[in-house]
Amino acid sequence: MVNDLHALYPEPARSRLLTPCDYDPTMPNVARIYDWLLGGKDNFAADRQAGEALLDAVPGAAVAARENRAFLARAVRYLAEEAGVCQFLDIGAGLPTAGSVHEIAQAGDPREVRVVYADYEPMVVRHAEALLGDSLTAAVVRADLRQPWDLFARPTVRTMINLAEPVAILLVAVLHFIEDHEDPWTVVNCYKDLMAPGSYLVITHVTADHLSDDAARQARAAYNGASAPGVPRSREQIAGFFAGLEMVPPGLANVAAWRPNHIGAPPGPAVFYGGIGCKTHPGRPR
Amino acid sequence: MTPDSPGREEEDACWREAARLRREHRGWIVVWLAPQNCYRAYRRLPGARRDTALSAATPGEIADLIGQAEQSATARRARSDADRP
Repeated sequence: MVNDLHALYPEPARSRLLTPCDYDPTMPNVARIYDWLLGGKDNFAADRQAGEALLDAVPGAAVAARENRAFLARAVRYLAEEAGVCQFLDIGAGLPTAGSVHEIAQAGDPREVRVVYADYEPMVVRHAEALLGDSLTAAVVRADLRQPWDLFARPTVRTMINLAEPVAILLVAVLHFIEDHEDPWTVVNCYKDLMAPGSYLVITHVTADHLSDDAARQARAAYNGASAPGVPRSREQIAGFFAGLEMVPPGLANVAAWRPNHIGAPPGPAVFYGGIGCKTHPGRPR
Repeated sequence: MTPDSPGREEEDACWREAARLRREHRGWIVVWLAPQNCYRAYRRLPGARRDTALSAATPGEIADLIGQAEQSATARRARSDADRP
């Protein structure tokens, strides 16, 4: 029997970070705004209104969201098929859409690859539970990415993810919901330390590098009053998350330009940067 | 789990120790790194230097290191306050 350390040793901070309320349709929710940008149906008027405000500031945001989603698919395919990763931890997974991580990662042999989704939105967790059913190789847990110790103490995670073996940790379109004062770099360092050598870290992150100051302000304002703030970061700041890892070519790039399936017109200015880093040595990444 | 690493129950105990250390040292994130068989502590400071993480094999050692780091930080702050005009 797996001890539920989470229940035995609750952290006082959890009650603040993981609020018991289920959902408030009148409050824009970042997962539902993203769902709306992707053309999904799991959103409310408040989410659509915030999404419209975002599109006013960044007209390419919906296209960028789809490019980000396509990057995720290519990244997971690369990790499962080329890098041979058998364990995936998708943190801040968001609402399920077609082409979820487990569908792609388990396309070869579903018995060999284990996928755990984590999100702190109860609605996201319920959707994922409904989608995954009684799968033995894919599961979802409710957890806050800012508390890696809590996530890794979960029985589901400890049962399905063997930290002594390489794992792919996915932080796709989620770190920009963590403000600087919460020090997302240290949180990511913690994840990197927890990964065994041969593991991979996948990050995509919104940038305002190519936006005017006004547009960047407007984009941030679109998330005012939402369930989480929107914090765009520079390419250099995003690259800092990968410190100590060996980047998989082509390195940190506009997600649309990262190993595209088809060579077409060059992508426009980056809205999302994305990349994959590999922990090639056992020491602490610096 | 590697052959040299603790078993499940021992590992649970290590996670519990890490949780206790987090409660006792609110300014730090303390985790148990099973593959490396060690505790690691990260200072919770926005903009903290990335190389300030501490590592030790036992809870007592990591608590000592945290104490030393806090003492150094206090001394630095005191010096900085003294230098202020």
